[in-house]
Amino acid sequence: MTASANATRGLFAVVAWRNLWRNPRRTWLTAGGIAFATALVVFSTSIQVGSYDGMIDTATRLVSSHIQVQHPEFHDDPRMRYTVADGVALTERVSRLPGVAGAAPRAEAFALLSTEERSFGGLVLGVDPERERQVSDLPKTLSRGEYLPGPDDAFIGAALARNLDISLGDELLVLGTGKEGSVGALALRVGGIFETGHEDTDRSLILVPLTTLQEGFDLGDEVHRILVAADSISAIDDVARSIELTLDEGYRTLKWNELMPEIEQGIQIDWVSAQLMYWLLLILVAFAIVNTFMMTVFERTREFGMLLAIGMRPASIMGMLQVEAVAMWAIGASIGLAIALSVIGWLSQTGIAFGEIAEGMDEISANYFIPERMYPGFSLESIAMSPAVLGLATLGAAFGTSLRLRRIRPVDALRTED
Amino acid sequence: MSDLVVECRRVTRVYGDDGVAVRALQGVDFRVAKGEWAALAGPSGSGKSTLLHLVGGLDRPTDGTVVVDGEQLNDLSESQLSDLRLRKVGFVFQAYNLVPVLSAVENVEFIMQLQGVEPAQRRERALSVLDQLGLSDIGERRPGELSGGQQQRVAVARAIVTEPVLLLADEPSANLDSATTLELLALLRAINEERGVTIVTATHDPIVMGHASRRVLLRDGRIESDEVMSSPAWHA
Repeated sequence: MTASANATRGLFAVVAWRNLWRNPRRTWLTAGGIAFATALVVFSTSIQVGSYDGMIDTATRLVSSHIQVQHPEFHDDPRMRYTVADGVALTERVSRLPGVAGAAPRAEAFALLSTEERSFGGLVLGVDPERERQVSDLPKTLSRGEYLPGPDDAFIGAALARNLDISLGDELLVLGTGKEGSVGALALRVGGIFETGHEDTDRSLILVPLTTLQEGFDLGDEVHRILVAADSISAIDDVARSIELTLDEGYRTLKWNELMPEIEQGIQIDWVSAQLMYWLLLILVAFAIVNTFMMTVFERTREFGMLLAIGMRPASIMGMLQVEAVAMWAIGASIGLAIALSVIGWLSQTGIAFGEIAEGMDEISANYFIPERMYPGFSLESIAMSPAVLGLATLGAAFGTSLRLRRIRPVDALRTED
Repeated sequence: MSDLVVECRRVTRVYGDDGVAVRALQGVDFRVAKGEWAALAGPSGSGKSTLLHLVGGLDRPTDGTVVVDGEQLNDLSESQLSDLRLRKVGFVFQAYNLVPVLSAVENVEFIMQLQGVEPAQRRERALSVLDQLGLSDIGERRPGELSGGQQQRVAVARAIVTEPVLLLADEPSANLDSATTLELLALLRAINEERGVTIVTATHDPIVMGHASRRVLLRDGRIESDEVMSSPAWHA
């Protein structure tokens, strides 16, 4: 770059910057619009991203974990006989892969859960009590008693306990079909009761030690699922890939979004509808920016005529308007980002507790796997989208309106009134 | 190269289409020699501003040729015309037309910045010209803080700082009172005599006409009279 080019650019910057403040009210209104849209979209998008991460985390921690290894047929046709052989050893192998925070085997059976008085259908999960803690929050939802203290103890949902009218220490019979079609039966004692807040889970699930279920339902050393928790949500894809590369073809690796497609679909619908609103807002602000630059070009026609007359090229004047546009965008976007990031930074520390916002939100949140306390999430898209779109809109507005300069004849422009 | 700075040959300028055509200039021959001060006079609509704009490369003739400092303007592209205006022609407008967001010294620097003159050099030259024009004490003020006379003097400073071969002034005294007009004319006279800058002014003002070395009277797009003033006003 030549020194003279630098000198000319310096001039453009000075003139452009001062021109912004010829009409400070208009500049502040336009920059304020950019700031408002930037702050709103960045903040809202961050909250959305955070809520999605929270939903995925809550749902996966409660039920499915991030990744599962299954028999190839089991996901589409969950029959008792579609098992993974030597599940404990396989779990051990998977748990040593990089990016894996924990792995745990599960066997399961649909069964009739009976007391002396009542019977209900439910899902019996056979879990490794210690390993289960690595992949699931179910053990943490203990509300009474103990979490699987012994081989004949059951850990049952609070709603199910109410429905069966049983409490801690009471007997519970489990009756189902074993792997080979035989009768599967367990005689259990209620050792602990959990309460997740998620109705379906609390009403239909019981946990028993894995070996107890394997023995009672003729499963031997087989399991139905190996649950794998990744170090983070962003690591899930890599971990799933490395599991697939490690295991033989006789297994199927499924990620959370395949296990719970309804969660992903819900997130996608929410994201798209929010994006529509954001784009509408950004388009409205873009029109305000176009209006500002149209006013600028019309008001300064005479000045542009003079600049053309003394030998300034139209492209140079357009460049000067582009510098004004960048400066106005920079002011608005900086203020907007500063506001949004301050609020996001503060909420990152405190979180948003839905239960404190409105009564009854706790239950609704639990049923939709929304965490009790939600934190905003950071992503390049959430922070960059709004400033980038408005930046392009501002430059486009300045460029589009300044195209008129190419049609201005200095003689005519000099005759216009200020 | 000839001694002529401006040479217009059978210049015609027609505005509008055939239906409502306005013939602003009709076959005008007009020449200005180096060092002359020619005042284009005449009533409104006579074609004096049109002729000035053609000479300044701000407009193109419908017919005929315009040559400035040896360059035939008809052959130049818009970019080349811009370049010619930037390097060879200085403009002083009726309404001063300074950049409102720049101070007086920055306005004078502006045109040099367009020429790519280095910052230190252009500041030095701008201050020097303002000093020569007696404007050194208002250099940091913006146009809105200056009187009409001061603004016009800054506009003159901007016009001459690039040392143009031709200074064009369109009704330079139209917004000035008599005393300020005389000050401005004294300034233009000094520029014309001491720097040898060729000046063409379009004016209604008899005082301005009286200061020029040559008076060209236009009427209905034609030159009605062209007389060299034997004793311009300042010689009296």
